[in-house]
Amino acid sequence: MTKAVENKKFISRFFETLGQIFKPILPIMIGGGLLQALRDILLMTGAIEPVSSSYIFLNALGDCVFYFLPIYLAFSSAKVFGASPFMAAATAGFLLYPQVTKLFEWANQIGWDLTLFGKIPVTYSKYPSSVLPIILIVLFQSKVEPLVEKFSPKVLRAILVPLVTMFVTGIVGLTIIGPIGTWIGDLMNGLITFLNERSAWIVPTLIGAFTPLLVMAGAHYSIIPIATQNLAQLGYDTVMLPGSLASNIALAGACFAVAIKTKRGQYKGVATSAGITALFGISQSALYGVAIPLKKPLIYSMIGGGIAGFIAGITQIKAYSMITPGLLSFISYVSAEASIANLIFAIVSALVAFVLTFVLTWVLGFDDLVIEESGKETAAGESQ
Amino acid sequence: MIFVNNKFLIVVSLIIFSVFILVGCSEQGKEFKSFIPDPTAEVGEFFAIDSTNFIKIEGGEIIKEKEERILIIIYSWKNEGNRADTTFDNFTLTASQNGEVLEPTLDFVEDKKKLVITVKPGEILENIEQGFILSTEEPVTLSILGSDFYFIADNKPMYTYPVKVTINSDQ
Repeated sequence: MTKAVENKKFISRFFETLGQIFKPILPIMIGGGLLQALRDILLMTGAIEPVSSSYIFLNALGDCVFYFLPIYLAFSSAKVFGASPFMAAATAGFLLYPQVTKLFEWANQIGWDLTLFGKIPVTYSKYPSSVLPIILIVLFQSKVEPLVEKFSPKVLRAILVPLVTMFVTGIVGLTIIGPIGTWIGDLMNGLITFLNERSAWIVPTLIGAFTPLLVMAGAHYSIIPIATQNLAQLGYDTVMLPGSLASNIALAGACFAVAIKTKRGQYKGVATSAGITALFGISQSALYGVAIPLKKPLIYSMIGGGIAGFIAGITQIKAYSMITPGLLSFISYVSAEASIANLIFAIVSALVAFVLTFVLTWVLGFDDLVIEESGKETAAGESQ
Repeated sequence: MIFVNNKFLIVVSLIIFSVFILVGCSEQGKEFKSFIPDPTAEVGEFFAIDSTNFIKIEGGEIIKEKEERILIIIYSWKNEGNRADTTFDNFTLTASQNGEVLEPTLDFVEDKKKLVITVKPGEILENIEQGFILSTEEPVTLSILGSDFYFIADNKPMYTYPVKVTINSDQ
């Protein structure tokens, strides 16, 4: 087997595994995404206020799905990798434990170097809503667990297996595997700053194209401060918010094309609701429910998002406030300081993202989901 | 005759009902008010950052290290809570210049363990130090965020905010 074929097989297996992991979680992601869209509509129409208990409850109702995503992913990943689901969920719970999250935030803000047992350095990481770190941690658990089981005396197995597995997985996850998102994010942050100083259009193009991959790695948190800093210093952002708008709308375009073209009736509903939530800037269900399992729509949305990001970059559109990048965020492109062209170019960029990705998905097609004899869904069979 | 799908009608009614319940029941039944700190404070005086914590910014000292200028902030903390606690559990002090968050460093502070010392209720911990790498000579805005989850104003919860103190950095 040639190396190219091996690589293709690896990538194919990687996406297939991600699809299997996300499939059971998809209903709550769609529900959470739609609840967040409902929250935004109620906010925009003035039905609820941003500083009210109604907002806090409604926001939590939708956001809890994404905040605690590592716990659901841990459970689901464990089933795919053959590890104990509850032990995996416990490790995710450890990483999301309020005191641990707070300790990371506090240490990062004041420059305190965190260590374990005074010796092992612990890198600052943000685990809520992260994806890749917990999947890799559970993969590691699936290798540790059978080893511990094998070498534990039978009488002590009930005690030793959970004890050693949870301890080793938790510590290795915290110190080695977990920070992966932070490392990728820091690298991206440096690269974005470097490129943005040289050419203004490159970064929105890259963000438009690669945001899905950054979200997967949990590295998108590292680029949010760029927008926050731009808004604080310049009063607007030309980098992250326009690029993310292009990316989210492109994913919506892919979802709607899939919804129309797929031959699986039930999947039409999934793709439609994922498309609606992506239009509102909540892209997780579109990414994990449609783009990743079907692979090709992911590539099309990266092309569409990249080209729309390029348009946002060359026209230098400016977002004047931090609103989730989706249809409702158009309002953030209106300002007394900006001409109407700013809003028009933002709409053009979003339209290009949507139409281009929709057409690419429609014309070039994708491998539709089929049901195997076992009842397991996999991507296969051209839908062209 | 208009065709109405009963299942669809039930689902829509359920959603609307849930939203009304959420919006209607979440309001407070009686008047309630919490402590709300002043948004800004001055150097050299104790000020409240939430219902149980008071801070006094004593001043700043600039250290020049290679190409960098490091601002060391010296401050005191009074624990007005009802249990012994550490700074970690009660507040965070960060700094910014012109909206840009400054990189923190504890390399030049005298005793960084003061940041994790337990302070008894009613007691004051003095001369706590934190360092920040300056990026310009503009004034530095310190933001001190307390530990309350929400402030309550006009019977409605509002997000907490940090108290801001401005300090010069052109020494």
